Amino acid sequence: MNFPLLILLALPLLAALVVYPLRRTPLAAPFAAAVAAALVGFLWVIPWSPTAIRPDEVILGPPLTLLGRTLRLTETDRWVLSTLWGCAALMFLTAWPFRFERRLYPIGLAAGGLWVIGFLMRPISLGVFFIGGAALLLALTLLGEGHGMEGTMQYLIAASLGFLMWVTAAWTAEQVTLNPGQPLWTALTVVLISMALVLWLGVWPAQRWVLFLFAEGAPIGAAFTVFLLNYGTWFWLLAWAQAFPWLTQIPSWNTSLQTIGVVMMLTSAVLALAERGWGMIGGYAWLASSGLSWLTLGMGTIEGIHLSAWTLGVRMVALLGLAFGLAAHRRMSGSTESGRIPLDRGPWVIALLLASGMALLDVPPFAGFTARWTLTRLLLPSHPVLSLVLIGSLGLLGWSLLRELLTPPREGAPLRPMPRSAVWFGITWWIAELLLLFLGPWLGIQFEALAKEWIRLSSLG
Amino acid sequence: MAGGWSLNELMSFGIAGLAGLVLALDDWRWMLLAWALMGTAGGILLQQASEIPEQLAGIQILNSTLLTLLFYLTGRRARTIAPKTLTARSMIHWRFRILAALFLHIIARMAEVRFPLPIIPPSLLVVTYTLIGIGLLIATLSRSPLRAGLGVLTMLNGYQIFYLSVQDSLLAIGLMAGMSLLVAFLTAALTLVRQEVSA
Repeated sequence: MNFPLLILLALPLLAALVVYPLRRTPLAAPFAAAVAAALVGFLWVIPWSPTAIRPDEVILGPPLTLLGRTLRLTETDRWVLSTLWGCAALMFLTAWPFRFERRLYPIGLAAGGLWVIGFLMRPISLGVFFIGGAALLLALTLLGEGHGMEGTMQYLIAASLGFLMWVTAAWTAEQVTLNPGQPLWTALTVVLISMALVLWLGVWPAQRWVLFLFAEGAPIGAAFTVFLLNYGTWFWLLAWAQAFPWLTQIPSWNTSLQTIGVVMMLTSAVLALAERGWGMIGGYAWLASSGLSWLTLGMGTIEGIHLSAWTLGVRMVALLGLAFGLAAHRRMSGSTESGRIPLDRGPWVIALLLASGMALLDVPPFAGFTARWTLTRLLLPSHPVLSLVLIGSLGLLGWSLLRELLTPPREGAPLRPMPRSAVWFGITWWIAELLLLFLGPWLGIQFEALAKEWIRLSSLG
Repeated sequence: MAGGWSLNELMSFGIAGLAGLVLALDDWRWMLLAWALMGTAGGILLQQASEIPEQLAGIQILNSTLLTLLFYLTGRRARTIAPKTLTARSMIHWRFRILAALFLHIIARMAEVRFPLPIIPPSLLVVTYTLIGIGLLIATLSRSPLRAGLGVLTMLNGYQIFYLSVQDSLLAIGLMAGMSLLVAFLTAALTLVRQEVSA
């Protein structure tokens, strides 16, 4: 019995039960963050004994049997879980000053716990239920003081439909193994996974829920949701590639991922022109920026996958800044509409919204620019038009962001004073962005292991 | 055999009709009744048309009944908080919604002929396609969380009919039923939150 792994799986679910009654108190956020940080520490402090179960597969400690199925922890999984819980701890701390984010702490811990079980469980066809359960549970974090019902309902529909796609894809992928030589099952698997990605990542035409969540819901709950669905799905596809090595060998696999990435980047830029409000534009900036991760993942080369993994690390700080800025905006004015907070009444809030938006767009000097530049360099020789269009799309999004800043002040309900936490968070955020610039290369080295794992799995097929 | 086939056909028409009623009715209590009958009829159809153990089909019926009870209690509580906002009237007239349900059922029949799956009886496949289509329509046309949740659960019901016929792992079947319960609890929670806000 692998007791450390059992503790790792049970702790977040037990902690969620403890945090739930505390959610209305100021203790909930630091407690939830401490649990998430402790999980990261636990992953690295425990002396896991490496066990070779196959010549090409080494796991940390013996497998754990849960519900009659096995759960294994590999070195890559350790990195994945550290990223997940580390980012979750930051999210909980970010949500601390805002009362309307109180549902995030217990639900975030429970959803993260379910997601970890689903991620480690084999076969995938059973793990999908835990992942789907985590995605559905997050719907409860999205309501903030009565706001965001429209987005939550749309999210519930998208998450449920996406879950059905994943379940069916897992079933069809098993049919490929059971009935070799029938191309129908292979094609169906790729189509279903692509449809699930469209629904869960918010790819056009299923993008509205992401925008509604940022604009009307609880912004940090929304950020946690898009984080778990984006990062979680990215890592989970690695588990799919592990379980079904033929998947990454199919040409349409990479084409689907690339198409999803390009559609996310281009449609976000064009559609953002027709929208107003910090929440809406922030949502589009997030979609465009995560599109870059999926496009580079779809390249299928070690450089592309490495770049994709690296962008995941860099995006988190920008997402946190955007979520905090939107939450502070909501607290001051009751909404995220443009023109409601003049620059002199909320300088730190507006600066944070603008800067995090620019960081998501990879404008220099933010760390993401390196990724954008590398992508352009990779794409330019083979797809010059596409790389130029992608640069142009950034210009459109930048214009939408600037337009928000230039919107003349509008009269409305009286403003509440700027939260004092905005100053401290703003300073910390700028320091974190600055550190990212210097730590970027080191972070890149850490993520290289993930890229190599992808390539190793592809070559196994 | 021929008698059994026609009974299954009749059942699949009946389920499609009940799903159409869930789509068309505006009163939440009648809508719930139609939804409960639809779930029960789905369980009976499963029992007759496939080789799954009777207990599993029985659990499907029990599941629908329990969820209906949960929604009824939620609805009653929500009505006491803010009576006027429980059922938001749809933008589309009920006649058009009935037509849409009929249209979706015809498409499901055509899809079953065009893309048959040998491992699942045709009548079950028709019901699966119909319920997923109508469920999606209910969910997307709805403004109230109760109705949207019922739409999502109608989709899940349709999918469960397919899943129970092809899946032999009891754990997977149990987890699928757990997902329906989770959606039902989320729907109930969202309905109550919405009512509190409206009040």
